[in-house]
Amino acid sequence: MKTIGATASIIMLALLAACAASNSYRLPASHPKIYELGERREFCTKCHGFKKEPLDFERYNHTALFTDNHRMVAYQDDRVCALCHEQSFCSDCHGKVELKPSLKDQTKNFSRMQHRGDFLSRHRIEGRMDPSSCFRCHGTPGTSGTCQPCHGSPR
Amino acid sequence: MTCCGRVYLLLFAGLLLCASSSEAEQFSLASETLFRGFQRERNDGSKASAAPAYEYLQLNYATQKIPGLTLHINGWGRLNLADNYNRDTTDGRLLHAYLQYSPPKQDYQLRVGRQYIFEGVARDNLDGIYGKLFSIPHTTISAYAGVPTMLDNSNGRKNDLIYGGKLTYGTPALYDVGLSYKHILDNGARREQLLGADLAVNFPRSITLLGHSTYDLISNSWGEHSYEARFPFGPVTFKPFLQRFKYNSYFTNSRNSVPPFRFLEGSGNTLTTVGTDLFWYPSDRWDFVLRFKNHDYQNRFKPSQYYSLIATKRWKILSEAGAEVGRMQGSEDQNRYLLTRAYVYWKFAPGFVTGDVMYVVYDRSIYGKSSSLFTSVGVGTGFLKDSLKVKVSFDYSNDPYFNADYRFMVKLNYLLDRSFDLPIRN
Repeated sequence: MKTIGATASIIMLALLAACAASNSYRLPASHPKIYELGERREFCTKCHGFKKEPLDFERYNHTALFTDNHRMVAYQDDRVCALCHEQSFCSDCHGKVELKPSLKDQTKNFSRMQHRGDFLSRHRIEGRMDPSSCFRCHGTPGTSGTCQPCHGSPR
Repeated sequence: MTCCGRVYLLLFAGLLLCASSSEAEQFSLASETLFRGFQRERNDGSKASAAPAYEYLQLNYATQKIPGLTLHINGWGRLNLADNYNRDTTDGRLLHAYLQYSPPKQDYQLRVGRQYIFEGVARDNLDGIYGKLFSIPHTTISAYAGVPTMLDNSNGRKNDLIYGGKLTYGTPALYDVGLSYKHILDNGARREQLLGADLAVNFPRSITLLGHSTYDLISNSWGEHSYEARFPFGPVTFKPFLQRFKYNSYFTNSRNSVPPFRFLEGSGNTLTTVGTDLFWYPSDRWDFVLRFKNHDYQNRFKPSQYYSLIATKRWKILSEAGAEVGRMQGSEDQNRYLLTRAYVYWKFAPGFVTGDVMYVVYDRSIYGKSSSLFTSVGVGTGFLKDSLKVKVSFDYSNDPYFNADYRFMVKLNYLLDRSFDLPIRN
């Protein structure tokens, strides 16, 4: 028991000592507001990445497939997402909402939202081929409200 | 008012008390008001119509007396204007409401309240606390605990609990490795217990490797492996990826599980997806994306493939037009379709015009129909120096579910962004 306590103390001291040092890079609190940021698919590398910078900005380029793949970069560090997007932006898809995102922002057709158009019909095929993509957003009782009228309620 | 509602009201009142100084406060209120209407004829000939109105409100408040202390609230509500759309005449939800303390020159962040957590294996809404420390060189530590907000339809939220955290070690621009943990209890019973590992490595010549794996501690096996690499060659970027999902561990079959996924947990299936995205940027105005995916299953289906080509042209600053062709080539005809789509978003400040057409053909008809047509047109403009935006859209669909579905929507976006002085407290 004493050994565990001593080890924990050493680790704590080491952490405190390490805290005294400072990181060489600190993310800003937010991205400066630019013209209608968020109203289009942004390519970060239009402005960033030409100099040696500590972030791989190309990873965050909002390509035509970024909506499909953004989870990969968000898992890594959501602070980069938070530079431009508030939590309300995430909640439009990941919160307990009634309107699917493609309906709420019907005129944002460049976003290539998954549920646009015939998805109600096509989801039976997509769901059979890769149900993991459905589960990520609809896997909890709170976020499966649109599934329940046909598929039933959680037990 | 619920218990949570009272807590959030207290948080807001507390912030206002803290903020009582002569320094300028920052306040923003974003309102989205949506008037929807639709008239549809189902494929059995019956008709339905509805006219719901939605309000989304978002409030942000920052006080200068305590730099770094901010309040964020966001929620939505629906009011049915002339029918019982979605059964109830009203509905709504407080999506998030939290206080955040992120001091400008300190390397930590604290949040308390209803919030969204995105940390490794966690992508959950909770009422609770969250902290992140990034003052240790090369290391980031985060932790969270609270009550999950998405499990309240079974015995309420009694004995519901979520907690976890993430440890990341890395060197900016070179690599980072993360380990994360999440435990969710639903009515006191273990619902999810996950370990996660994520990895990002930057190699020379902008080559990268990115991905994560998830280990399910309930079934004691790996649930997911998802990895992608990036190889840029001038105007071409090649992104191969590999994903593997073991259904027994990825889906949950615990109490309060959701039906379409609950049954998958016991299927014993494993899905392996291998593919690549190929991006080609011949100029600033054009980009092309070619996607190929091969789905392979341990049981139930034979391998299937998905092919897609997307072309986008941009002009001015915000205008763009695009076209997409996609083919799902399942092993059975019930799992095959051909998708075509074209859209335009044409900006001419302060207004814009949009158009969208999607036509999908199914190899095996669904409810007697072998195709779907979706069309949408929209217009919008800004007033009051763009702080008020008005957007109008009309849609028409003819698909397996509806012989004819006409929809319209009027959307008002209003942003109030102000700095002001609060009265000095005596």
